[in-house]
Amino acid sequence: MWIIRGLRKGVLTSEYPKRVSEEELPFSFPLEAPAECPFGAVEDGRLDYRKCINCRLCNVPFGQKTGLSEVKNPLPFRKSLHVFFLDVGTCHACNREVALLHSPNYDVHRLKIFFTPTPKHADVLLVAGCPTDGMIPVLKEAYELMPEPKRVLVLGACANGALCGRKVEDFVPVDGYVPGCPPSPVQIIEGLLKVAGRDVE
Amino acid sequence: MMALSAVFRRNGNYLTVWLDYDTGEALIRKEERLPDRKIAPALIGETTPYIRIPAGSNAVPLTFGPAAGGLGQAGAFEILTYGERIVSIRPVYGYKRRGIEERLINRPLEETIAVLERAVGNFALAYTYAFLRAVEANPDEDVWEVRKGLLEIERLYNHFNVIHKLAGDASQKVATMHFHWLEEETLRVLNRLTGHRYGFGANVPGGVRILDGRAVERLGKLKEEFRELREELLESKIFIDRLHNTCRLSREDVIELDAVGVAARGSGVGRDVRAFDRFYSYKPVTCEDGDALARLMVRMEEIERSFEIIEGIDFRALSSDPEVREGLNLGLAEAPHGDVLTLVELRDGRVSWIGLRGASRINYVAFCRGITGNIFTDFPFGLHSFGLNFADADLWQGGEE
Repeated sequence: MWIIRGLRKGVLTSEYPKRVSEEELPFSFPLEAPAECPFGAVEDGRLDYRKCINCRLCNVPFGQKTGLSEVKNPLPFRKSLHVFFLDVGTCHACNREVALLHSPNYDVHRLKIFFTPTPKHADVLLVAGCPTDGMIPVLKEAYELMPEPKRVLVLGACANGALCGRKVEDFVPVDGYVPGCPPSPVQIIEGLLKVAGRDVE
Repeated sequence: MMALSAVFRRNGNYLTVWLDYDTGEALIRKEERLPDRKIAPALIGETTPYIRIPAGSNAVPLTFGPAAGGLGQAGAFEILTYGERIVSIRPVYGYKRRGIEERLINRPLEETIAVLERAVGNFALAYTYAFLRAVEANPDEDVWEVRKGLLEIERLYNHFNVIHKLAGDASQKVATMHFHWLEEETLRVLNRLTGHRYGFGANVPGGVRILDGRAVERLGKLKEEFRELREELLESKIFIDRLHNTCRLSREDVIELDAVGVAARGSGVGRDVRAFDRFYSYKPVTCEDGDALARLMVRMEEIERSFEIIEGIDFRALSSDPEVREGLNLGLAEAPHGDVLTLVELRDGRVSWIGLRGASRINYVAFCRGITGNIFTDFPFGLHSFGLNFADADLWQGGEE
């Protein structure tokens, strides 16, 4: 019986944003700035996390990191946030991580975050991947279709020009960044909560 | 019989790869003309031009994608329909052509691997397995044992994802969540094991990066959980009825379209790279029916086999110093959805040319053959039973198109 099975398993959902467990974060973020980066994430001795692809080729210690996402001008939508996810050229890992937001482990509905199948109902455009020739018009159109006020949140290193040289911000105005390659579900939730103007601490 | 596995453009000619799945014999040929196989245009072009509108039909063309919520990825299908039945359908490739593959060339091998992992994220361990098979001249048995284990863990979470999607399509809300949970738990095991949720950076030239080998012990619990869930799910008549006879692919279709992987095995054609890979001793799982249910049963059985293989492996960080094989070499790996192929040319220890072929490029065409004649509500069941993605289908075919 499914019901008994479900009850026996208990609560599987993450306590984030109250608490973040070690299980939920990848161990692949550089903890110090390396001297140089083969993929151009280091400039003038400073590490740009937005461009770090977590390749672990540099000679620094690696570990877990939170609080990396940056959001300018958040929306005052504390009660519900509707998100449209648009893939403009990912490696499919970001798609999987976004899909996992609906898994029992993260369950974003408890945080009043909802995904919509159309940009016309969305407050936030969640974009992943480096924009390809085929997807640039789609990206622009999706942004145009969204009602005001609207924000664009960018997922992952390749949407910030790490691998392909193209950035999402070259085509639509960007309000927030979630670093990681791919960003883990907890990091995506963090970015979305910040866009909704909610505390993540 | 030889199957046409890949076609690449190179210096104005075609480089074709033919594969005999019974013996593992591979043939790389230089040809001036495109081989006379149905799949050949799809392997080289952006679409499959051989699907035609029947004369006198009142069907209307419809494009599904590339931003459609149902697909969840940048890809599209052109569908010919008169409302309910799918008269004809073809995949539209090219929306995901990112040019990432050009960044594989002429850099140190460890950087090439880092880029290759980001070509197709959820099959990264399979691609690096294939690439390193092509590159390493005298492979170290112990290192490959661990790489094999990582590949099987990748198979686990991808198969769980497929079952989760199929259960979701049939509105089995509870089952779909349980399988989604299994997928996430497997990713967490991989995270503990390699330091990355998708295993990026685990396969490095000559070695494997393992942080905590004991993390795989947690898979034992997941195995028990999976067995119970499988039993419960397959008892649901509603679920089985939705999959039975949906998106049927006959044995002849598989041979004609050179389909690979789970799609071929579900139709009784035992095409599996692991059958002749020197690091495996494996007999392919097959099922004769060719419908979505048959492909699900193949996956269920393969999950069991993967657990078995993983149990026999001692996961630990290892490094070796194998020689690098110069010249043009072929590497194969059995990814969760089908085989992936890397044709690599090395010069002075660096990649000077590379061709990549993912199974999705072939199997989307097989899916289209299978779903033709079905009705719209069967579409997600058919599509998800193949477990493909467009990032894998849109890989560069080694040159301008």
